[in-house]
Amino acid sequence: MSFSSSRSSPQAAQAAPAAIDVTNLSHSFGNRWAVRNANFTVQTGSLHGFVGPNGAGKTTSLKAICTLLAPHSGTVRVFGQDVVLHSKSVRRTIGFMPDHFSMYRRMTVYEYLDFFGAAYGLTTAQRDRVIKDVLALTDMESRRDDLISGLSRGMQQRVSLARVLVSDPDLLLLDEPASGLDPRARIELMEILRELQLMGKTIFISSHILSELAELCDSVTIIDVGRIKYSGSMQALLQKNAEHPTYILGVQGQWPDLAERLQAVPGIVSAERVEGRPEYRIAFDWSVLDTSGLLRAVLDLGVTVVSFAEERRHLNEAFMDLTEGGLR
Amino acid sequence: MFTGSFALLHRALRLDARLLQTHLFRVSFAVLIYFSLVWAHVTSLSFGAPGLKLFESLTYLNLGLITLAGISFFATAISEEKEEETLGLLKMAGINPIGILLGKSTSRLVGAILLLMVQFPFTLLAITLGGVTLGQVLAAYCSLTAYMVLLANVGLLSSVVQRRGSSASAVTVIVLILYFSAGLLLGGIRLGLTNSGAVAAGSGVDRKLQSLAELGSDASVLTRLMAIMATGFSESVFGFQAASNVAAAVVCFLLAWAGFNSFTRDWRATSALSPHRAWPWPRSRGARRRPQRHPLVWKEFQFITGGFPAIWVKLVAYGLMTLSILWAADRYYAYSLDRAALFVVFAMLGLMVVESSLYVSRIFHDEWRERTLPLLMMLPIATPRMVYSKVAGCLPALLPALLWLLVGCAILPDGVEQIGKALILPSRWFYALVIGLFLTLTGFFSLVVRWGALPLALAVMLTGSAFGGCCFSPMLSFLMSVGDQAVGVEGAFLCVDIVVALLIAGLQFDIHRRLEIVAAQ
Repeated sequence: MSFSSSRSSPQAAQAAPAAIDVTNLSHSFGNRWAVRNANFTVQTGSLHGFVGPNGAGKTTSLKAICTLLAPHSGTVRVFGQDVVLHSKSVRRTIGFMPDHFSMYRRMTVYEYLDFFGAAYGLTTAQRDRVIKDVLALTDMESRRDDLISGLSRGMQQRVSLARVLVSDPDLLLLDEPASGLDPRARIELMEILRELQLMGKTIFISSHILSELAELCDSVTIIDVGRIKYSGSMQALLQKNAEHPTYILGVQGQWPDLAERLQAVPGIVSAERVEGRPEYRIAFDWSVLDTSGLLRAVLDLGVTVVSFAEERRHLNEAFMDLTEGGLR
Repeated sequence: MFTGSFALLHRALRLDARLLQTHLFRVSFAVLIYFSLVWAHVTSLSFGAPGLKLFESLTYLNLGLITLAGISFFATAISEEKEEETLGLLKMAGINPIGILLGKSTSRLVGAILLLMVQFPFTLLAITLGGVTLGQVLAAYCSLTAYMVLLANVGLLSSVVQRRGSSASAVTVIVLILYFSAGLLLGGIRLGLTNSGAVAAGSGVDRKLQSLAELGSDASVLTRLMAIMATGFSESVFGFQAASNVAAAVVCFLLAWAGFNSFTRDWRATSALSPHRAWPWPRSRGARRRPQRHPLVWKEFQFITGGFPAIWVKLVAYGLMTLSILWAADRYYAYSLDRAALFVVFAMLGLMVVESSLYVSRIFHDEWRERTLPLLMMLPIATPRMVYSKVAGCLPALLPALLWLLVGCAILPDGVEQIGKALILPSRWFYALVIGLFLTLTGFFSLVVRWGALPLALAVMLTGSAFGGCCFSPMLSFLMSVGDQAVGVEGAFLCVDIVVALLIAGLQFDIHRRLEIVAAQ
């Protein structure tokens, strides 16, 4: 694979400016604010999710980041460069995949990639090499001479991703890349994205498929009614509002007084039986007890443990908590 | 059976009422009527019969607008549903073909007929002003309505047969050219055949050809309107033209109905119907050269103009056309070579204008339709460079017509001199600039309206030239009276050239702005 990976090391990521830095971004259409005073940062080398209900302002923010829309106020910087003042150089560092298929359907897959490669100023030899690589990455080598119009939706999505990669951008902006894809295509796309992150690309992905984003992304921004509701690490979001870490303990057999016995252990804040299941939800204080200490304490009680796992909020729950319902 | 038709009609009428351009069109139409009134008043001061002048200008204005509507408004009735991929949904909703055809075409026809009806009081004013009778007014409106019904159904048939609105419009234009020139064409063929001795003058074939030519001419709305405008018109209100036009309209509608299911099948459902497979030249990667330093030029050349295969085909086709004109002029019509060469020059000039306007109407619109503009706008290329690269990509496609134009000029005794004049005289630049303005307008409208940029640009140019002519004539007269007549004319043209060039520059600037807006949508 011939993609650059200059931003892959953590040290380099520390030294480099943020991949995306949005400060007080506002944009309105008529008298309706699409985005209002949005602030968030995407670290270099991260896989950052961008989540929000329909009409929340995701696409407007994305278009401002990718230089297609001049914001009414605020600044957007990509790798330290202002997208309005240095749009041409910013465009060289980003690859944008819109939420709709943007294809020249009368071209073959190879011609399509070749055209964009040439438009980014690659020489014929460079294009040959890069196209070979991106086709291999997206598993489209066998369809290189097919007309785009004859490809399935999933394959067109792969070609679209291949097109984004032709110019070897450092930052990938993907707007709903998995929409309309079948489960297999979606899983394969996610695998490709993980691989790209390992190559050092920063990926900013807007999606509605929260379960996959939770697995894939290391940071997330939630936007609603044009305002940022959360921006930070995925880990922190999923633990947010949980004052004490909570674990689910699965036991074998009947333990009528186990909840009370657990509550008596120093450091355990609460212990309750999960309704209808041989499981207990245990919250504990980090300052008194760590996870291994908790497990040891449980085993000391003579309980036969069959499972022991941290209970995490789902991204769906966090999303529902942070966003408002209804049409807007 | 008609439930679907009424639903479609209702939807179309509501949609039209909500669109700003519908109201703008009606307002501009009212402005044109008032302009005709003023024009009739001005001309009546010198020529008399103000009623006839008003009636004439209104009638020909209607004729022009109906023709433009036929090319754009009527010819996209079904193709717009195909392009938006909603035709399948209409079929799935259980609306049968005749329901869809009636629902889609009647709303447009009703809207257009309403515009005709709304003017009727103005034409009665023409009777009061004098010079025209009620019979003439009724006959003219009857004739125009029949023509409109014909055009609506020709457009409907084209939009059923063609997958894209632009090709449906192109087919309608071809049918219209045949409609208006049928009499002339048949007459010309007859003349050629009798001149060459292939058909004896006065023979049965000759008489049949003559009567066919007369029928073709009588079926034309133009011939009929000229007859109606003549003093002493006393024929029936419902003439042969109206009857033949309505009959042809019915035939077109029946053909559209008969072919609806086969022509509106989703082309993706069967690969054999794919328009891409139907392309006559090879599509494999090896068949086309790869993009080099100017990829946008390459893209437009290959995919808008058809690339080298299209150039070769046109070179041969236009060459054959040139040779046919020269040969037929000599063999059948005994025209001199100079006169035949002049025909070649005008034919090639016409082809160049038609070709370039078709390319310009597509270079931005196709990107808009395929939603690829954001990708182009995100390339590290400045917008003006992108625009001019696209234009440059289309230029080689004009070479075949240009080559045969130069051949025509070479045959003309003063051809080289005329080319020289075209380079130095502002009065000759004017024509090139007007064509440039028309092409720029077409490009601009292709980013504003979803369908019909070309007819809209044509309508604006025709209206603009009417107003422009009124403003230009006094200036020309003034400059000619100041000094030397030839210098005055060239000076006046230079002023007009500057105005037109400024308009082109302004529009081009707005195209750049519009591209950014569309890309961000």
